[in-house]
This record gives sequence, structure tokens and C-alpha cells, in this order.
Amino acid sequence: MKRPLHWIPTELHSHTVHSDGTMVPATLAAEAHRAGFGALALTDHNTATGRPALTAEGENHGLVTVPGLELTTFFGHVLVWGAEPSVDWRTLGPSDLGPALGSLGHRSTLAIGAAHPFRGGNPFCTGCFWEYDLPFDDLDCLEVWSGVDPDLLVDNHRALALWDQLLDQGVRITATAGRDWHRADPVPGLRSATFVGVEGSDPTDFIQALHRGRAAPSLGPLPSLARGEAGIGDRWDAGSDAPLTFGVKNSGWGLALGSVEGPRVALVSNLGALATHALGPEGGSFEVPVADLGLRWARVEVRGLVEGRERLLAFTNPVYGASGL
Amino acid sequence: MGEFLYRAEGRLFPETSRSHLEFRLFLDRDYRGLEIHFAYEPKLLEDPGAIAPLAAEGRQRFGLPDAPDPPFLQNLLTLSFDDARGFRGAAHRHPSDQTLFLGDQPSPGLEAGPVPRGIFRITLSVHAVVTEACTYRLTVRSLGETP
Repeated sequence: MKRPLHWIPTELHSHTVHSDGTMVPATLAAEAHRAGFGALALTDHNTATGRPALTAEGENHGLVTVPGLELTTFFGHVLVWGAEPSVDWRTLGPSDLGPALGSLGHRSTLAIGAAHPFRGGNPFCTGCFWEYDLPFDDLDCLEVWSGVDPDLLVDNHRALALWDQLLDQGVRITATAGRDWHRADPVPGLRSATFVGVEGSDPTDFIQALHRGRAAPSLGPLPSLARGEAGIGDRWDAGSDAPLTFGVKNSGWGLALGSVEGPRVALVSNLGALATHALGPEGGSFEVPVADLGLRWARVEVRGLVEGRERLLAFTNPVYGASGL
Repeated sequence: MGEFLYRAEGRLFPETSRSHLEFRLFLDRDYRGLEIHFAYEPKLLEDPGAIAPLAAEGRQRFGLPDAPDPPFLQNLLTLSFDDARGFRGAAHRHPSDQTLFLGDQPSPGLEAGPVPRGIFRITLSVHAVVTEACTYRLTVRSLGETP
């Protein structure tokens, strides 16, 4: 019997004064609580010294704090969630990340992702652009959404296109969102979260969920997707004749569908769009029979007009076909 | 003010970008802590005429045709430390004048504890030099010996 998942709005990418953020851990935890997050990962650049203070402050606010770090190199920024990795970022050239991650051995206690892969590098932001030549199979996650109001940024459109391309190639990599939160400023736009589907509330549950693809970046609406017993991130059984069931509802966090003009949900896949439905202010649920044996992955997108601009509002990681991935 | 243990100065260039300079100094005693002062200048490149070609090159390289010229570009140098026992943390931050402490009350980003006798390694990570040149000064002082 599968345990039910709890979908927790999580900030997976944040900084404090322990690197180049302006918040002390206590402020970051208070701000995360105020923003309604249920979990927060501290990913300071190349140091983990902020972890103990953040953990203590997180407990005061009922926040799950996921230990993390951003390996900040000249050729890419690597998000690492979990135990402090024994990788010396100062020794990494463009071809060295793969072997370095390989040397970590079994990675069940770590999840590793590429941060903001298309943000401009030197002279704008050295190392921000992803230049490592390791196969994306070697990573667990891809930060498809970076920053505030992520769908307005062209770099994130490129990351989404890369992710779809990887999925089509059979690479299984979990899409995440991260604000890359450095300051306690008022949010100048729509804030995103990664809704992480966890069985429990231990930080390791979040790392396992990232490994398993149980994640849905969103501005607020919470999409759902399943085929039979297989949910987001799972693989459906060979021979399954179950339809794909999908939908979206308000999460209670962030943007509500009632403030979106023309909201709609689409089921997209390696075969293109399988279905699109208009949504009411409370969302809706739908199903699509699966007839084509060539279907290898399907995921949900929620779109609509907010503040006069058409936007991607939320998306799930895929449910995967029985073979091919 | 503690005993001077080390001093270095130097000049960096755009071609120095994306490289690490390493200073290895031998500490012949156990120290309660160290005070490291690090400064570099200039920090900013604000001349629109100098920014334009760099930004144009960046736009082309990173496929960002619509990105406007930024109002400024900045040099970024950061320090990290290793003592004879291992990694002592990183100070990845933007100010171009920093005083950092290792010891019982370390600066954020750095690991607490004394600094043992042996090779002490300072890594100066040159993330970006966007100005014609950039000069730096680095000094290390003792915060007292371990009793």
C-alpha cells in the first residue's frame, strides 16, 4: 500500500550572509515562514556553515530545513542537497564534474542539480551559465525555473525546452524551481515554489522525492497526474490499460486560479499535447485514455493570463512509460 | 593588533578571470585564530563605452540577444581557506574590502576552531576581472597563539 504524499511548497535555492546573501539564517527562516513555505533548503555558495543556525531557526518556525550547498564554480553552479559533498570545487574544469560526482559513490543521501543553466555567464555572472560537459543523466535535477516570476525570463524558457528535449532522449531528470533567494526584499512579482511530494517530514524525505521526480514547480496551483497506481515521477506498469488522470486545484499557497484569466490545464507528452481543458476558479480533474504504445512520458502544464501576461503557472514532473525511459 | 604573518599584493587582468591563485604559507605555531584582510580595486566597471563590447560578446556567447547593457559590470574575487587539517570554509561575497576571522568566532562561511601549525592555504578565486586591471592586497595577522 502506497503511503499518501504530502505536497509541500518548498524553496530549494537560498543564500544567507554565510555566502553572498544579506539575511542571517534567522531572518531567512522567518521570511520563508512568512512566505508560507513548508520547507527550505539553504544552498550557500561553497560553504555549509549556515546549516546549524538555519536548522535551529527552522524548528522555531515549523519549517523543514533541507541541508544544501551550491558548488559555485567557473563552469556552472551545482546545487547539492543532503550531506556536505566531498568535492573540491576549486579543482573542477569543464570535464571534471562527472568524475567528481562519480567519486561520491552511492548518492541516495544526496540530490544534485544544475542551477539556472542558461543564465548569462562572464562578464554578467561568472559560472552561472552551465558549461559542464557531463551527461545530464549524471544529475538528479535541473533548475528549470530560476528567480522570481520565472516564466517571464527567457533563460527559463530555454531550460524548459532543454528539459523536454532530455525527456525525449530518455534522460530522467527532475525539474525544480528555485528563487536563488539572496535578499529579504519585497517580492517584485510572482513567487514560485517547488511542491515536493513527500511521505514524511524528514529532510531525507525531500531528497528521496527529488530523486524520484516527485516535484511540481508552481506559482500556486497544484497540478496532479497519475496513471493507475503510478503518480508523478513513477513509471506505470507494462500492460496497464488505465487512463491518465490529471488535474489542478488551488494549493492555498501563492497564486489562486481565481485570479487567473482563462486558466487551462494541458497534458503534454513526447507525442505532443494529449488534452487541454479550460479550468474554473477551483480547477478541475480530467482523464485521457492511453491508446498509443509510443507514449513514453506525460506531464501536466497549467497556463493562463495574469497581470496582463500569458504565463506558465505550474507544471509537474512526468509520469513515465513502462519502457523506453 | 596581532603579529603580521603574511602579506601579498598583486595585479590581475581580464585574462586572469576564471582561475585560482593559491598562497601557501607555513605557520610555525598553533594559533587561536587569524585575521585576514583582503581588498581589491576597482570593484565596478561603469563606463558605458567599456561595458558595451563586453556585454555584446556575452549576449552572443550565451544566446541572450535581447539582454540590455547592464548599468555596471563588476570584478569578483573571493577567498577560501584550508589549514593543515583540511577545508576551513569559503567567503563567497561581493564587498571589495573584507576583514575575515578564523578562530572561535569565525566570520560567516568559515569553520570555527583554532588554526594549527603547518601549511595554511589561501585560495584567491578570480571569478571575473572586467576592468583593464585589478589590484589586490592580502594580509594575515595572528589573533594569538594557542596556549
